[in-house]
Amino acid sequence: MSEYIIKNGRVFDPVQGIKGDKKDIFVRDDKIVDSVGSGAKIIDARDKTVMAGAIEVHAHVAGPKVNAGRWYRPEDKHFDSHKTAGITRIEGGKSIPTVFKTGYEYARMGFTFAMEAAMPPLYARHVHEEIHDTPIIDEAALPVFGNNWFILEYLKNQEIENTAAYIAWILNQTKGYGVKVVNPGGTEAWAWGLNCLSIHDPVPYFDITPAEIITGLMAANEYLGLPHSMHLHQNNLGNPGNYTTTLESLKLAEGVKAKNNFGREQVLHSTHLQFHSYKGTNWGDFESGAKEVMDYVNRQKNLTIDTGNVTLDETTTMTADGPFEHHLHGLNHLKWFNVDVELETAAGVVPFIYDPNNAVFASQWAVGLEIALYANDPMRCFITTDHPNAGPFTRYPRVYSWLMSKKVRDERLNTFKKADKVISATTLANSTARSRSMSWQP
Amino acid sequence: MPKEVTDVICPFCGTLCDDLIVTVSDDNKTILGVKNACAIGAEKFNHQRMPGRVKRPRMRQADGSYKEITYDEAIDWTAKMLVKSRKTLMYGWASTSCQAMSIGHDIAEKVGAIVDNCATVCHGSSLIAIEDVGVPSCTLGEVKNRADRVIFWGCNPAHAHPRHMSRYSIFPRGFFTVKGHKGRKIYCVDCRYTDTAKCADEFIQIQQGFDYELLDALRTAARGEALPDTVGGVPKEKIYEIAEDLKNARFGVIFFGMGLTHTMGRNHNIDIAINLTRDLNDYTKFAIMAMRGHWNVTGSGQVLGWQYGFPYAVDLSRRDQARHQTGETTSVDLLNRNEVEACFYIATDPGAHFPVNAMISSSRKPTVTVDPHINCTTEISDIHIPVALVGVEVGGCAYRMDNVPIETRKVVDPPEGVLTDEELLTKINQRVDELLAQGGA
Repeated sequence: MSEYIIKNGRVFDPVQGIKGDKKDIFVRDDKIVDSVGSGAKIIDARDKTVMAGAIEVHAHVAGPKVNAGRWYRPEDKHFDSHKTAGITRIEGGKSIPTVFKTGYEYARMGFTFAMEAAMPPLYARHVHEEIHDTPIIDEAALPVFGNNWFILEYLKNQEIENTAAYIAWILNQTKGYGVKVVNPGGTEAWAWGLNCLSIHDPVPYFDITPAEIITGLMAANEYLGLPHSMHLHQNNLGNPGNYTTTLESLKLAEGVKAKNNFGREQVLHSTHLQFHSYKGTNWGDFESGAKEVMDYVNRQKNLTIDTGNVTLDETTTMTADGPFEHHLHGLNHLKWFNVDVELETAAGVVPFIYDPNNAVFASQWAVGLEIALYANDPMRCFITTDHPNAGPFTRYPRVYSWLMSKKVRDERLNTFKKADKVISATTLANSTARSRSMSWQP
Repeated sequence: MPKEVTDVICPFCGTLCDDLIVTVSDDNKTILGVKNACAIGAEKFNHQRMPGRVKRPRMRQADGSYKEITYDEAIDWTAKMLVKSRKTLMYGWASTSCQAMSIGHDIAEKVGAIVDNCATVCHGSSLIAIEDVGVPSCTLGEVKNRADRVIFWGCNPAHAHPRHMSRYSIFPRGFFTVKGHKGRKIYCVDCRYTDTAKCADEFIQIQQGFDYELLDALRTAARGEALPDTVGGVPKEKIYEIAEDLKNARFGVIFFGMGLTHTMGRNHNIDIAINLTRDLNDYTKFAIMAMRGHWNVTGSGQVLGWQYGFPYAVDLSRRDQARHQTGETTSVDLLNRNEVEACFYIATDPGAHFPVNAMISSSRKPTVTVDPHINCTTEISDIHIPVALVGVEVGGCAYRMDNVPIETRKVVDPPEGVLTDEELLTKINQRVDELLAQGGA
């Protein structure tokens, strides 16, 4: 039996409405209890926050593309790559930290769990090797399904039961935790150098559309009654005007009901929504579509989202959306890493510098914040940076302060070189539009 | 009754063939036969029952002869050497498992050593090029299932990766390549007419040392710009013809080897080959892949990558920071400059592959070699510690040349009392901890 007391900390528990009260927490055998014996170990938490371990719902922290980012960017080790006192292993990297640094940095911020957002089934063992070597925090991984040859074949023939059986087998084989879908159909098309930018583009050879893949995988996910809903990275990521693709994709969940006995209501999680909420026709007339997208999300109770906040850093983009990374490389001409994998997925990696002096990047920063601020139900909206795509996860404290304080947010906004352009392209500065949806803020 | 073990992973080259069938004696002690492996792979299994195999650590005496010692003595000597030396070269790792590497890195961090693998004398120049310009690549399964143009440039898989061509790159029929060999056009670019060239539809004989120029010419031709009459001995008409053919591929791939990494230009050759591949992606789908040679060298790069962020030549001697700089933290340069105080070699034979001067430098330092075999390096070592053969007598994870991780399979027991790499390194690690707790060696 192990017992301890976390003493004198400021305790936060939103579920019980405890907001920073000074309390002692008693723990016996990993469970919170009312009291413990006199021999309990005492942990002094004076001037510290005591809360449940935070959970990262979507980050790229382990696996082949993350590691490609690590080793093909030695320059990323120029920043913050020293072992800190009291730590046992050397820490390295900033936007794509080593496994040691990943564990330490999450722990420093009060996180105890991170979900690796895209595990190629063929590379599952690699993902788990990194998870094994990551200290302190727990990690799990979502295998990708949206471009799997078997899935495409089953769904073309509308065989939901076979799709579900195959998903169950892959989850078991790869030790995965849910159904991730990245650029459905588009990544398979990328194997021939093509893409599916709308949800009605046919996938080459397989004669199926992204809309059919999304619908079918949602159905298979509910057939199995999995703990998590389908986790979707939509088609047409990162392009001006893509909010229409986003709304079309989200509408596929209309009328779909969650089937489980543990209370999950959502059937679709739409990830890094910031990258999918753009209006305009090009980077010149680029505008935020966050309001349109979030108005829809607020109405549809069976959706959850995460934000994908741009933090305005030098970072390393990486996704199983292979064609997007090729497109990005065409925009910034920085070194392009790509791996096409048989049966499912193609990952790309490109370094990226979100320069705050650039109106588009600064607007992306605003779009990410708008997504969260427009959310009426905070329980359906998760904060992420799609680490490391929109920025490193170590920037969460900054993201939180931008969200929690209009003053901090406006300070950042008004110091942009092209602040006027950002203000006209987004609604972030328009505080009256914000007041109602911000009511849940402390 | 002898039994057959199926789906055995070959422990020889970077192709990691996973379809071997090994016949094992009733008592699980002897390998009787190997099916599906190439001649070199089969030999790795035959080593298992080779007469004269060393089964206990050996220590060199003053007269040059070897004396058998116990594992405990060898572990103690090794741990003391590692703790005492201010900078140790811990080189090799390519024939062991990723799990063993991980323990080795833990030791290296504690004692402030340099961890390097055989990429340092092999595809290191490819890794430098990728650090500079990235790389568009794919898995070998994609090649099998999609590729209709395959280029072998400065590599000779017929000898170095004998089953590569039949499993992935020339002959197999795949999902979108039902015609197999007939549906693929194979190019071989080399300065010699190799056995791989014999399998190619087109052999381009290039003047030695003109790889960069010819790759550059192909980029130029792909963009429709003007060329001189010949480049590297190849007429311009031919270059335009090839460039056009590559642009018309459905899915193309370039495999390259030491002919690019170790001829004039080195990493720049790879750089421009990658850039050619990138250019071709504006027209169709193209990938490029290094023909990684030594079995799990790719895995060593991966483990070093996720632990320190560099693929080879990782200097941990500062103890609070990992450093990686070609020419500075690379094994041969360290030895040539006499910069290390001791050498720890494991699962690779630098004695057979490093320049002579580097090995002369190495031979003057306290040296421990961990290897199942007697090889050139064991002969200049103070201590030789034999271990179980990874992939034959013990399992463990290894990475194929396309970075696909494969858990290898144990087929027979190691000889009585012989430790595995993981067991040995764990014991050395424990002894290092004890010594450090006591304040040093």
